[in-house]
Amino acid sequence: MSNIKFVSDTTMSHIKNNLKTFTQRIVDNDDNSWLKDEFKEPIFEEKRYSINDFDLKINPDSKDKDLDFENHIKLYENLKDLPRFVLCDERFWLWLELDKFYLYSKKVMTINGISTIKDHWLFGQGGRRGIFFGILSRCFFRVECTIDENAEDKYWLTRWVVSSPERFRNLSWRAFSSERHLVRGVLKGEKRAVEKVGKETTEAYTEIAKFISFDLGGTTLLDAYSEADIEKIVYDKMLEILADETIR
Amino acid sequence: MQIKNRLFPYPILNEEQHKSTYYNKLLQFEYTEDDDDDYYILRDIQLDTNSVYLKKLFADGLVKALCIVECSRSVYRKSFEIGIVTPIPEIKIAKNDLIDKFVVSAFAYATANIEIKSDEFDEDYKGITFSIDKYGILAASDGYSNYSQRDERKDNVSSSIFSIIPNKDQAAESAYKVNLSDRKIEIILNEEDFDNYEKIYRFESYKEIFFSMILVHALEIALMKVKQKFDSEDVDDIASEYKWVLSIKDAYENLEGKDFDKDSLSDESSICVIAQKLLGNPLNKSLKNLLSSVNKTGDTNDE
Repeated sequence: MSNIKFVSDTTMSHIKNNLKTFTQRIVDNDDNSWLKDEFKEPIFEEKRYSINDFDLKINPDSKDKDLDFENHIKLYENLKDLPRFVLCDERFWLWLELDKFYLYSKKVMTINGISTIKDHWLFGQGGRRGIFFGILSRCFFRVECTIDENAEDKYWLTRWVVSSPERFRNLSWRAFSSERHLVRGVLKGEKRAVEKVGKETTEAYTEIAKFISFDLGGTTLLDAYSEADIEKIVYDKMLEILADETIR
Repeated sequence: MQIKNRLFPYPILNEEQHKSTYYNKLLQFEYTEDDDDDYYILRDIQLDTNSVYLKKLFADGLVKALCIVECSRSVYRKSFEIGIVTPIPEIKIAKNDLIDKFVVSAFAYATANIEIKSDEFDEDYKGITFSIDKYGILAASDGYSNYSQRDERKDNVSSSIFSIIPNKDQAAESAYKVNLSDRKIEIILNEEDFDNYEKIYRFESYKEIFFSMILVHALEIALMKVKQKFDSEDVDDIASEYKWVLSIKDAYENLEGKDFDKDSLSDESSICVIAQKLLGNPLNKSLKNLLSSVNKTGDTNDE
């Protein structure tokens, strides 16, 4: 066990004001020893919460989906007891990326310039969306949002989502996806429809997310839907969408 | 969860009366607030109305009401069943689940596919029967926004409200910039100035000179912003946007023995004085240090 850390506010400011240099340092270095030369101020601040010491297995561009799933579960299982305000803090995830899982973070997504660092190492897309863009934070929340505690295999939906992240991506950007039973209902309906039809498209998942937000959520109270009701509605709608030849 | 200016194709009772399509009927979402170290507590929560029609729908089990607490930053959204007219005693929300802004709202919705028709509707809707889907919203209060303030200083050793950082893209000899971020007052130097700052900051006697030269000015800028904000917000509202305000507030109240509020920054000359006081009157100390250095070298220019 060891105490968690946050990247200090001064270092965060330093990084955000020097993204080009920061990005290049990561690209040029497979270990993080450069940090102490780059930042004169204390980089990390220790907090009073602790976690187990654990590893993630290197998985370049998340190509190995079984390994990707394993890493997702490890992150979730070892961090899930931390307070929510920690789990949603950019400074916490950047500490994990720069310190504990530096090489893993560098390899899990190819760095294509400043935008990769800004949007996927930092929360460049904003407070909530940034969580679902972060290379580590999104793994944690993919599990947290899809875990089915009532199922024999509580990660059965998680496995489906991790094997093809576009099944969850657009959904995660919608405000209603903070309500977990709605997410489970939507995913169950989508999965059942896809398995019945034997095909899926990225656009279908986008259409479902929009349908729930604007059609269903336009006049009805989404939070009041039971998980079973949402599943049925989404299943029917997904069949309709997949039958539409114009949707690719 | 808020409906804001969303339009409905059927009558809806809204707490904001100009959005309501009932005639002369009110909806009020009420609760009292409390908190302890770990929880925000809502007490006596109710969705009250003088609509006889809505109350009957509720009594017949055709309508239910939910209170929804949502915090976007912490991916938190929970709903709690509440009554119409009859208050429920308590809802507790763990402070650890919240970051910054959270919204508490309330809605009444249909529990089945129903039809509604009432003389309580506005003139345009009277005499018409409307089909409402199960879960259709029938009454809405966008409720209240609140801010969860977390004092991180309890989790850390004490740290400065200032960040001195280099910007490698800034031209040499360019002026320094002051940026008010949500957590820190940032002082951004060009690379050469930053390197020089790092060298002199190690010397205690020169630290006060640096404070006088830069930190007093940066703090004045920050206090000017706070003064501006005091026109429409109180110190807790401002602190939810700029967390360093809490440190300034504590330091001011310890120093002056009175509350930090709008009157504290009543004019610009007071801001200049307060900034220096909060930083321990660095001009005074730096002049003494400089004079001491001059005296040691024997170069006094005494005649």
